[in-house]
Formats: sequence, C-alpha cells, structure tokens
Amino acid sequence: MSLNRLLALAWLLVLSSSAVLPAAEKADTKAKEFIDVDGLKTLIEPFKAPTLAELDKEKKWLPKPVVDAEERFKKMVESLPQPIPLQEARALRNTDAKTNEEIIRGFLRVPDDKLRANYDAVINRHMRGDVKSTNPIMQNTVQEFDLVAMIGVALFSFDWTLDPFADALYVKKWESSEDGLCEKLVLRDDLTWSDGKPFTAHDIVYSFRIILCPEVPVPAVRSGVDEIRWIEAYDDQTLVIFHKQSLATNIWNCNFPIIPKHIYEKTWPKDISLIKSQAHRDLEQRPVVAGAYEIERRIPRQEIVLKRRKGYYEHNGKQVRPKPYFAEVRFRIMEDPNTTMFALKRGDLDEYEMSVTQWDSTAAEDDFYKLNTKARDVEWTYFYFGWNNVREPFTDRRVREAMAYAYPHDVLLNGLNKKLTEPCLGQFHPKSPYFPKVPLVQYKQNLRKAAALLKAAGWIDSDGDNILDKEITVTDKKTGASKTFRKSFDFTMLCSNDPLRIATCSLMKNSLEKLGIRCTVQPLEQTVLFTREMEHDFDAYFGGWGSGSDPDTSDNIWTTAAINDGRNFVSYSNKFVDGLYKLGKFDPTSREARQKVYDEYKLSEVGIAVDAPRNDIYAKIHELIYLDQPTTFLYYRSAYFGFSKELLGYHFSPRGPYHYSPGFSSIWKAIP
Amino acid sequence: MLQYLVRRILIAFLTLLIVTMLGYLLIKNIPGDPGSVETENTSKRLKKEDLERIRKQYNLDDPWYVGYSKWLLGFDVFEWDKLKSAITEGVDRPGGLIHGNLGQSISEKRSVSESIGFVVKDKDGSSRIWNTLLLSGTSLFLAYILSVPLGLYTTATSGTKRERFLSTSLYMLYSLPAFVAAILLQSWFSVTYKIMPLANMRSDNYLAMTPWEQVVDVAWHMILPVFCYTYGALAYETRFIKANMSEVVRQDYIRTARAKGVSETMILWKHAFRNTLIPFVTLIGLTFPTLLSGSVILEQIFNWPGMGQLLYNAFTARDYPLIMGLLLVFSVMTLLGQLLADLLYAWVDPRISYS
Repeated sequence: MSLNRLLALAWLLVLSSSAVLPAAEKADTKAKEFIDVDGLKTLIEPFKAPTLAELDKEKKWLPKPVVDAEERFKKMVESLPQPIPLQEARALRNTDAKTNEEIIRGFLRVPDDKLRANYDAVINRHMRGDVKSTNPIMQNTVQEFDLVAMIGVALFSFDWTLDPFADALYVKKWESSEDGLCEKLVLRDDLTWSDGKPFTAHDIVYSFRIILCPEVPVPAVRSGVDEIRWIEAYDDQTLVIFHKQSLATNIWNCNFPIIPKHIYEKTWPKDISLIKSQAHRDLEQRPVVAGAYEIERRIPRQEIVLKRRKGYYEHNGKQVRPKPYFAEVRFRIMEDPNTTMFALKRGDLDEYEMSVTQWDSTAAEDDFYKLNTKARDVEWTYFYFGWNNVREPFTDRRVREAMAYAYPHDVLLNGLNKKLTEPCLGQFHPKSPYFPKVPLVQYKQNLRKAAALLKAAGWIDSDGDNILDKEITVTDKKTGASKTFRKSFDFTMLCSNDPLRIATCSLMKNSLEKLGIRCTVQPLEQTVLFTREMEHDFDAYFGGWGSGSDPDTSDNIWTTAAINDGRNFVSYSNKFVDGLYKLGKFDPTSREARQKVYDEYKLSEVGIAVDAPRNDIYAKIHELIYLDQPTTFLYYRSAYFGFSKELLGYHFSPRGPYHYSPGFSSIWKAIP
Repeated sequence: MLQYLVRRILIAFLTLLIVTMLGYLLIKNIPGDPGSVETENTSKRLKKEDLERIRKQYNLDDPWYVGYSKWLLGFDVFEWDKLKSAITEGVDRPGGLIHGNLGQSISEKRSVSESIGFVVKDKDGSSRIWNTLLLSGTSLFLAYILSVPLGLYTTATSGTKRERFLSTSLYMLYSLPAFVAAILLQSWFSVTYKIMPLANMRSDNYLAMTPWEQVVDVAWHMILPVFCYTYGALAYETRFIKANMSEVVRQDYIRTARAKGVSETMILWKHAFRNTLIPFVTLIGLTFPTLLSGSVILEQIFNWPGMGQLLYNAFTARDYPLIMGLLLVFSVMTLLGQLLADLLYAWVDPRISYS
C-alpha cells in the first residue's frame, strides 16, 4: 500500500528546500508575473511546448526507476534474520538497546499465511493539533502533511534509504531526457478521484497552474515548484515536465500536491484564495481525493475520520492496487502530552510519538505495557550550539573549537539524554552516504585544550577578575573611526523555553565558568527565538535541524547567500563550501556548467575532482564545516514511539516510522 | 438612571478605543510576525516576494497607527485622499470593526468572527465562544450557587469542629492547582477505573446520537473539566462570604436584632447577608470577563476547544487580527462586568441611587 509515499511527499515538501537556482541568484531574482488564459496572475512564463513527436525526435530519453515501495519493503523484511516469536516480543520491556532491537524486529512483519491481515481493523492515530485546511495545496504543518499523505497522491517518493523513485502505484513509466531538462511520465489509467472521475495528467497541469498563481497563499508549496518551466499534458496519461536548468535536484521540485481539475476549474477562478467561498468551504469538509482514504467525517479540533476508498484499489471491479490494511483511520487531535499518554494507555490511541521524558517515566510503568509497547530509533535530526561567526568572541575558529572542548558531551549523552541519543559529528549522519570517509573525531570535554585554544586566541584574564578578556578593535562602518578596548568574555546563550534545552545549555554555562567565561542562558518563546535568529541578533543559541531527503537542502544553512536569504543564522561563510554546493546541484552530465563553477571557486584547492560524484561533494562539504566548527555539533535525536501491541510492521527510517515509503502503509493489525 | 447608563456606555466606548489602540501597539511590537511564523513552519526557502505578499495582505508593513485605523475603520485614516473619499463616497469594500468586520484570521484561514464562533458555517462545526461559555458559565453558576449556603453555614457554625473541617478543606482545595487536580482525576477516573471520558467534548459516535443523547453526552464530558474549573472559585468565594459575614455579624444592629429575639437564620439571611452582598457583587463584576476568557491549561488538558486555546494559538501564530478580535471580546466583557456590578449595587443597597 502506498499512502506513505504521500508522507514522503509531505516531508519532501517540508524538508527539501528548493534547489534549482543557486542561492545567490535566487536572492537577486524576483519572479516575474504574467497573465494566464483566464486573466489571472501567474508566475508561469508563456511557453509553446513542442509536440511529443518533436520532443521524441529531439531528445534522447533515459529510463528512470519506477518502484513499488511495498514490494521492496517486503523483500527487505524477508531478507532480515528471523525475529523472536510475536508473543515474546509483546512481553518484552524496552529497557536497553538490545530489547529495543528485539522489539523493533519482533513487530516488523508482513502478513503471511500464518499471520493474516485484518482488513476490517481500525487504527487510532495521534494528531498534535487540528489541520487548518484539508486541501493538499494549502498544507503547511506536519499535521496537514500527515493527513494529505493518507488522502492525496504523489508521483514521486523515496524509501527508508532516501532513494528517490517514481511511485509504481500511479506511474507506469518515467524517463528523463539526456540533457536533464525534461521528465516524461506516463501515468496509470486505473486511478479515479473519490467522485468517480478519472485521475489524469490534466489534473497535474491544473494543480501546477494554481500553485503558481501568486495570489494563492501557499508560499511553502510554491517554493521549488516555481523552478519548473512548464508542464504539458499530451493526453490523459502522458505529460512532460520542462525544467529551467539541468540539475540533480530537479526531481524534488516535481513532487507537488495534486487536486482535481474538474472540481477546481469551476470554483477557483471565483475564489482565488481557495478559502473564502462556500464551495471551497464545503470542499474543506469533504474534499474530492485520489488517495487510499477519503474523509468520512471531521469534528473540528477533536477528530478526523478517514475511510478506505474502493476507487483507489479497485478499477472496473478488479483489484489494481494493494488494499489498504485499515478500513478506518481515526486521527485523534490531542495537544496535551499527558492526556495523549493517558489515551494511549486507555487504548483510545494506537500510536503516539512521545517525549524523551515520557519514554523514561510514564511509558516505563506497568499500566503502559498492558496494551502497548515502545520503540525508538535515531532520526537524522541533529542539535547544536550555533555561534555568531561574525560577532566577537566567536569570529575566531579557535574560540569555537574551545567551546566544543569545553562542553561535557558525556554528561549530555549519558546523563541528560539517558543514552538514548547518538553523538553528532556534523550535518550528515555517519550512516548517510554523504558522511566523509576520512575519520572525524568526536569532541570530548577537555578543559585544558579549551583553555589553551582560548589563550592562543588572545583571551586571558588580564585584570584578575576571573573573567577572560581580550583587546578588541572595533571600526565604525560609517565614520571609519577605530576604537580599542578590552572586552570580557561574556555572552548570552538563547534557547527555547523547554526544560531539557535549558538544562543542555546550563551544562555549557557551568563548564565555561571553570574557564573564566560568563555565559547567561536566556530561554525565549519559540517565535521570539526564531526572530532573533533570523535577524542574527544573538551571541549563541541552541537549535536543531533535520537532514533533508537531498543533501542540497542544507545549502539553506551553510551557504553565504543563505545568511540574508535563508537559515544561515550563524553567518558562516566559506567560499569552498559555497562552490561545492553549486557544484553538487548540477547533474553529472552538465559538464560545462560544472567546470565553470569548479574554476570560479577554485575547488581544486580542496582536493575534489570536477566530475566527482555528489556523495563525495557533500562529504567534502561536511568535512570543511566540521573543520571550521561554525557550530558545536551535539547529538542526533531519536524518535520515541509508543504503539499498541496489536500493530505490526513498524519500521524506522531516518525520518521516523512514517515519513518515507511505504511508511504508514506497512503497518497493519493481524486477525486475532 | 438613563443618563447614567448613557454616560457609562459612552465612557465604555472611549475605554474600548484606548484599550484596543494600546493592545494593537503592544501586539505589533512583539518580536515576530505572521511572515516569520510562516518561515518558521517550513524548512524551505521562501521567496521574498511571497513573504512581501503576506506582509502586504495583512498590512504588516504599516506603522501601528495606520494598521490600527485599517482594523478599526477599514481604511487608512492618515491618507487624506482616502479619508476624504471615505467621508464623501463611503468605503468600497466595507471593512474594519466599524462595519462589523473583524477581519480574516491568518492562522485559522477563515474570518475572525468564525474563528471565535460568532458565526458557524461548517457542518459539524462548533463555536469556541459557546464551548467556553458552556464550561465557565456552568462553573460560575455552580460556584455562586454553592458558595452562598456554604459561606452562611460556616458563619453560622463558626468555631465548631464542623466549620474548622470545612474551612480547612476549602483552604486545601484552593491551594491545589487545577491542572494537578485535572491530571489526577483523569488518571483515576478515566484511566484506572475508566468510568469518565478522558477528554474532548463529545464521544466518537456523537453524530449518530439523537439530540437528547447528544446533550447528555456533552454534559457527561463536562463533569471533570467543570469540577476543575469550579472548586478553586468555590473555595475562594465561600471564604470571601465567611470573612465578610464575620465582620457584619459583629455589628451593633445584629446584636440589636438578636436582643429583639429574631431567629439566627433570619439574622444571617435577611440582615447580615444583605450587607455582605455589596462586596460580593463587586466580585461578580470582576469574574464576569472570565466567562469568555477560558483557561488555556484546562482546555489543553481536557482537549476542550475553547477561547483559552484559541488565544494561545493566536499569540504563537502572531495572528494579529485574531488577537485583536479576542482582545475586543475580553474588553467588552470586562466593561459589561463593571456596568453590571454598578447596576447591581443599586439593587442590593438602597442607599445607592443613580438618578
């Protein structure tokens, strides 16, 4: 089953920053607006698409993978060593890494003759807050992505190794032109919308058109899609996507949400906002969908109930897709963590992603294990201390490295985080293909080394007040006048108002006191913190970031252009890193463009070849950032899930158990 | 009396104007805006022009006084041409509070009136304001209806073991935070014994119920939250009445009544309690606004979709129109509460007259 290819789409949209134009160009390029056939504003520049015959004549098409993720998943499970008997797995308590592994493997099963799937089963899923919209195009929060993953359709997805492909549930054939400028897709003809109308290539073209209308308030969904030049539907099943440039990251731009043309061509021109008219309000309650489930009923801020859709897995009375395992999926909306844990214990919920505190307390009690069990696995989301690289005292690499040596990493990992997280060595996880092959050493607390580095950087206690200080010269940008004074090593560490984060920062504060550094921990409301970060108005902060499905997503964090137009809050700037990100965007076939970037940024100096594979390019970026230490990398967090003992097929990806293919679609309940 | 009412209402309008203006000024100066929240929610790099569009759509770039004039009147009063045309030709698209338009909520993607619940358009929809009133109204009613006899009883039995037991119990209740009680009650009654609903306003099969069953179902779901809402106020008000009554019963006219042989019940009810009502009425006026403000924590714990949750979410989303709408509602309720209290003074105390 496939729903969670849709989850994959969701997370692609959230986590993959668009990547087509290099960042600096993006910052300078203001999208032009045009008028479309209905007289509405659009960002799509008029384009006369060649006929299919002309394209076939002009382009050489290369086959691309079309994958049935569920089949791939089944083969993966079958290749694993035999699990312990289910009864034993159900009786286990998750107390250490070994039992955690046994539980994960014990519940990771696919239906067979002995253990058959209960297709009448209902699953109660947790939702952290209500959705603001059920329209896939309006999605912006994790809740909305989770819902759209169940009711929507996505042409592309990726599996638990983050390997991208076209989804065989919807796509018959996928080819890319050799020059990397076009994707040709042939859709399956056996999918219908929930109102019985066929799902066609024209729906995709119309959705593209709506997304690129600047007056539709969907900036997050539009980001990336606006790098597509044009989409042409040649018939109901065949379409070609034209890219503006040949880039390795183009596929991620093609994975946008799709809505039915036959519905929205009647309603959208009358209400461009998609939210004001009664027709759109009615659609919010019962949207016309093409995914595995449709909305049965919705009680605002309480629940959304989905029912399995026959038109998804049957066509003309014949089964054409795997039947979704659950007859009904109920999203229970609960914001309070204690109440949600109670609901799991009562059996009102079948699954819940808990906090590390709950994992170690309420989810370790006897009443938790009556109906449930729990499992965890590392996600590729890391946490770090960000230093303001353009503000004293953190302009000096030695000072930043001293911070890494000053921190008691062991106390954090083994104490605060209770040995449930993994140490972090940089932006890519050691199991990621982008992790460098050169050995990188995990920093350990070493106050002597830290003190030596600080001394080398000029920080000494010159006045005997037990606080380090240094002579600093500041030049006024307007007048050019210079001022020299002794600055004390005194800074503020910002963090969000979360007890665990405050404790993590307080560990740093306590260690720095021993070195003669005064650190003040300042907890802030999340939006205030984010605003301070965006405005680079901080000395240091505690933050986290999730690796995207494509390594290029992190250009939003580390490139110079992202200082003012992205999330490079720490103002890190390294011309080699900038060049490598540009090089990594280009498809290996774009030799000319690659050479130009290679020469411009003198990338030969960092020992990378112009035709290096993308893995090597991003590994080099990782290595350079590690050496520069613009941030102190701390740990990769884990996903902590409590789930009913009836649920089988749980499998963790670097994005947790849902946000990949097949994700949720691999989960099922057996006939008792 | 009429003159007094008119004067009070005029002052109320002026107060509202000042409160909303100051409110708008403060809100606009909180770090972050809807554009930054939108950016925060996604890891994608949003286009500057998209963010500019959001800023323009919600007047985020306007100085606070221009934004406020648009919220209030529907146009920029500081632009002479617009002001002139508004006066001579009226406003094209009536907007602003003056036209009854509270604006469009940014985070809820619908009108502010709908978000608060003045208007319910969706099928299966519920009104936030009604949901909160259901809890707070019931709670206030119970607190007042129970605190009067309890206060009188503790006064009548002052110094006895029964009174001390009751007073100590009330102190203990007053000092127990409602959210702690809520979690304990959930743990016992909803998880261990499973005799009460854990959270929410309705059961899963609510829509399949008859109207009468639906009423019973909502009432059933109200029990735990109403208890948590009520016990603190009940303890406080009972103590309040007792304290005031203790003062009054020492007055000379009470002693005189006793000397004349008036029964103890009559003394407490007719002579003493009537005089206690004056400060009690002040208390009613002060608690009136809480009818609609809801409780962020209790609504969160019991998953009760009310005004407290809405206000919290509006602040975290920097949803200026929604915050302003809520601020207006709470201000109106406060002013109404004060007016009500003043009118009740005249009713309970014959010495007070507004004519």
